[in-house]
Amino acid sequence: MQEKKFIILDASEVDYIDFSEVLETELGTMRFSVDGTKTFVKYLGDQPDFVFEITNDLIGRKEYSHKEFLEILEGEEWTKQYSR
Amino acid sequence: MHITDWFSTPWASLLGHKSKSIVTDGLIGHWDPSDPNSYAGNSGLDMHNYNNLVGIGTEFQGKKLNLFNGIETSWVEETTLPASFTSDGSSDYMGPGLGYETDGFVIDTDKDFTLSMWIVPFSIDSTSNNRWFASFGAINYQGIGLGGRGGIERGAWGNSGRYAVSYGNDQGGGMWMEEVVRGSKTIYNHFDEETGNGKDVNHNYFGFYDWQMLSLTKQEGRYGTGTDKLTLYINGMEDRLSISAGMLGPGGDGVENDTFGSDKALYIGGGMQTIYGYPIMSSNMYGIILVYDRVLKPSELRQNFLATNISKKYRGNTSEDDWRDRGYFYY
Repeated sequence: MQEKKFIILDASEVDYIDFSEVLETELGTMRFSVDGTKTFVKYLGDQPDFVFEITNDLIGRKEYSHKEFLEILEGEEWTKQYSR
Repeated sequence: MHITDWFSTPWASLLGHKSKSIVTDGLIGHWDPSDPNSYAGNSGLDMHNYNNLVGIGTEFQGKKLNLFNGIETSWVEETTLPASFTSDGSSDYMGPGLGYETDGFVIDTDKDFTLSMWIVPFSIDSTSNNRWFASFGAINYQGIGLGGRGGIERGAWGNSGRYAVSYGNDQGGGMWMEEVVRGSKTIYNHFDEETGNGKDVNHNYFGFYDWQMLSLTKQEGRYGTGTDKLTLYINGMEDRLSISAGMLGPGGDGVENDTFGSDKALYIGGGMQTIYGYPIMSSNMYGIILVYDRVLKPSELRQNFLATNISKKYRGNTSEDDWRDRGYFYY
């Protein structure tokens, strides 16, 4: 079973996304950071080809595991924090 | 049909089980991952549609849940039908698309309703944030539904792992589930070594990694014209809500009904707010979901529990990396 992986994208890079290569359904349901400047995609297997178009190299973006990424999403950048 | 013969035993009758089938009076929403009329499979044109089994000839016809952002199916080998759906807690959910909320399954939350769902709420044990399991809500408006509250054991948030019958506020963000005013139960705060407090005897105990049927009923005007009554049931038994209300503590079962705002769409796995908002997603497994336009009686909720609880033979595979139960419902 292939592990689900996550990479972070800038919001300005969403036009590059090929939704046939990721698990996200469409732009309209993607999740963005609290300030709206970042989003992410998740996928199985290798990093999608469009990521290399964004980075313009053969390295791509830093990948996160499911567990790692849930911890990131818990942070204030992605989830509104409570003050009480 | 998920019924086995033991349901006909006198023992089941003693528990108030009046029928082998679920209650149908007032049923307006019924989703079943192992029914091909509800989910046709993960290929083809219908693979992103989770269809309502009731509603033909009514306003609810065609009011399906859409499967978004890679929500997974767990398959039953014998039938090639999914035993359940699983969300990863990042962005996947069932519900309407943003901007298309009125095309989704919508109910009037000002009025009476019952929401039941089978769920394994395994995301709640590792977060101090609130999580929606299922909610009726809309972008930037309040929602009401079933949720959970995590927290670090003996941490600043007090008791950890509390189920909640909750509604979010509308202070600019909508369904944050920020105002958990109707917290109900403690999940694993059985014994606090630091304080010496014993088991929470006021509420039932169920673990994070078990299938359980959670139900929420809302009775309009039960405590007067301005106050509705919320009741939480776990596996068909009422989980008594405490008398005193508190923002983050266990609260009473009365709730001011001006909090709700008429027609709200059903979301499973989270509550979306806005494309640049703060969706409160949760990682869980989901089985049968039932929605009624009335308040079910305790005996009816018990009947539904028994009628939808099937044997462990439907359990699926686990792996070394993921030992969670992939199957259907415990008994």
